[in-house]
Amino acid sequence: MPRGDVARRTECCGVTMLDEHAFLTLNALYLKKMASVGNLAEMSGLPTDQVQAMVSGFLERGWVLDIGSELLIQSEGMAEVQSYYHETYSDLSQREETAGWYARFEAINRQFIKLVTDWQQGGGDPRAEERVIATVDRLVKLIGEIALLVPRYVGYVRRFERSVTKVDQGDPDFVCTPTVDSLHNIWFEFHEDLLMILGKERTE
Amino acid sequence: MADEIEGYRYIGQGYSVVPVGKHSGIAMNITSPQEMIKLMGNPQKIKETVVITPGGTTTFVAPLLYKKPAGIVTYAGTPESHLGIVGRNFGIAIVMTLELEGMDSIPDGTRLLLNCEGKLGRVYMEAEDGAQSQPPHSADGSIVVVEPVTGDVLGGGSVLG
Repeated sequence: MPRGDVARRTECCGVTMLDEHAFLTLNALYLKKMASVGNLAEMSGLPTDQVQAMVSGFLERGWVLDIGSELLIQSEGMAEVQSYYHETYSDLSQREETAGWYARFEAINRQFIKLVTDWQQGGGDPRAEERVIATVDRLVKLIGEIALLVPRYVGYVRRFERSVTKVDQGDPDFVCTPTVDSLHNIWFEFHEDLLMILGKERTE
Repeated sequence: MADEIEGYRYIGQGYSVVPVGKHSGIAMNITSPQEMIKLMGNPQKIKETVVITPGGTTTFVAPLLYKKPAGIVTYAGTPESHLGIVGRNFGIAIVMTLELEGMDSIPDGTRLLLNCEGKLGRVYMEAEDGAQSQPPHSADGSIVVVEPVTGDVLGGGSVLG
């Protein structure tokens, strides 16, 4: 893609929207609000030079703001992402199977937040850590079910697996430190993504 | 009964996420992601700000924690939450589910002091009586407490938080 170009595609109904790679990149910033190009490449799974080229296009359009070493999403960029979610996933929220799936996610989500809190307050207790990882494994299995409907969700599985490996190798930062691609960060972003897909508001 | 702090008036308490002592800053009510993003574009202002989420949701302000605000006050939620997990990592003063006493809301621009010790977080606002002295602040917003003079021993200043 030429530098500065933001690929877009036209839907049959005449709605113009981001292509998938542009969405993956801009959505990564939408979920994080502020991030570096490196962060966006890590989250989207796309090559850094491709992400950089797309970011140049986002900057030209005023969708993102360059604040030094990081980028900040802007209202226009948020609107582009929200439009993509709406156009691509609006039928998902109507499906009965999706509602049942989300109810199971919510139960695991409550457990995960409690377990991470316990892990923090217990000074990184190994048993608490095992329970955190077991809960991530449960979510990965659950994502496997919905990935049939949202194929890009395998990207979250890839990130979870990478961070679980880091924790297994003895790096506790990858449990919930906010400045690395920790299990809690990935979980938080997945939850935000899910809420957008299903058109739900966060209640917490 | 909440401890009295010279120059400040107690206005309520909630859950403290992490025991980081006393921190002060200027109140700013943030009601939407758009307002949050606008504030994120001003890193220096964030450091001086106690962010208040006046609604029932709290998670949307979590990205602000990366820029180290002076504190966060919510009217809902518990420390067992996404906001709590991130706040605990950064060691930022957060008071959740604040129950105000004698007022319904905290106006923007009010100087607040958050006292986060143990599991309770107490919130104070600057006293209207300008004659009262205000605790001096260190560069990171924490409160410098000057120990009282006892006998012939002159206590030195210490930074809490």
